[in-house]
Amino acid sequence: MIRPENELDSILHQLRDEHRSIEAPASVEGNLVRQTQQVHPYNTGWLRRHAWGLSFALLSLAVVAGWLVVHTRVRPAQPVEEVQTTTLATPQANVRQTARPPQTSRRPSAQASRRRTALPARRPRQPDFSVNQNTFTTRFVRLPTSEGLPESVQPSFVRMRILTSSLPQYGIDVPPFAPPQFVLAEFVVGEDGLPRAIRLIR
Amino acid sequence: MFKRLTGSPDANHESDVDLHRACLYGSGEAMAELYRRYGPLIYRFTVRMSQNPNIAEEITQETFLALLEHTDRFDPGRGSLSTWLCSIARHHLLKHFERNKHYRIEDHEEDFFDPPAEDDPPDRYLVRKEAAAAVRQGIDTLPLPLKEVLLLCEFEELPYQEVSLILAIPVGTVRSRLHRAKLRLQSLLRPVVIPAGKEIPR
Repeated sequence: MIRPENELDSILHQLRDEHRSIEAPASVEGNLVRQTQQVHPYNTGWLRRHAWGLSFALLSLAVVAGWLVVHTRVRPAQPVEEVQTTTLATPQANVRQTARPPQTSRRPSAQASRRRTALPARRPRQPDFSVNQNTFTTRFVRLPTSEGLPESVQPSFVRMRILTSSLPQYGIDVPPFAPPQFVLAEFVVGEDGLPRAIRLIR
Repeated sequence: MFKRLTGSPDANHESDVDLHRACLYGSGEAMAELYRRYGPLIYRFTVRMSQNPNIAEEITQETFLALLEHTDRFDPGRGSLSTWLCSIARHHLLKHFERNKHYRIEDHEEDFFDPPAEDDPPDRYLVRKEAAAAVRQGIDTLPLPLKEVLLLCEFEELPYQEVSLILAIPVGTVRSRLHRAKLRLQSLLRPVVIPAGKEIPR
């Protein structure tokens, strides 16, 4: 006698094989593949492979463009701040300058070093002492520190912007409660590099 | 008593996650591979539950499309991809059954069935061919809670733990429903009384 439980087990085993023989429809696979590719358009091989590289390249370009914009923008005109060195125009000095051979010594003179630190491409400009309608100058004031210094034969004129708070040390009086501001000053500098006099240019 | 698949779930689990991720990036090949792995399981389950190949095909497609649409719902740490797919398919099945009220969903334990007794004479049992047909028909008419447990545990040979995750019921409930399903099927094995003296072919 076959027990029902064993009979059921064997029948279920048979039905299990029938059940496992059912195959999934192939049409569904095609639809799924198509919809997967449509939902995500970045399925093209080239674009997918190079997405990260393209993103990095675009980011780099943006960074470079931003740096260029920041560092090459045109700045508004500002008052003269750089040091301009001029040489007193005397015929003798002019001849001496043109006849002088190229500097070969290891210790260049103070004047030559100043000429090098100034804009090298410019030719020495003749000082203009004429009264310009846009600028006017004060008289030269001898500096207190020039006491005892020998007279300069070939002085140089050095212009620079200095604070009004530093004018008293040069012997120029400044109102006590005036706010500090930059003024254009011109110094007479001797061959020894020491200033002799100052005047203000406005 | 019953063989349960053990395999190497870790390796398959990791590769399923990789394939899922590839699908999200629009890989049709990854979707095709996932369908080849789990499409038969989902289709078999849905076609046996719905007894309608068209409905089963539609639900199978919707189940796999959920991989693309509901990416945040699949958590690899909580279960395998096959478990998640089966639970999605079951969810679609239940929605279909709710729209078509003629399906029997409830399982009432008080429903009468007459389990076979140990001392029943052999002439009361069906021939095997008829028994298999009776059990096949009996499976189709089982209440849905018992039917789905039988299909997943007995025919798909999924572990009790995985079935409990798919159906969102305790493991003990899975066992009890499987037992009740088999008792019902056993009762179908002796509906016909064979006349005394007639041998039962094996």
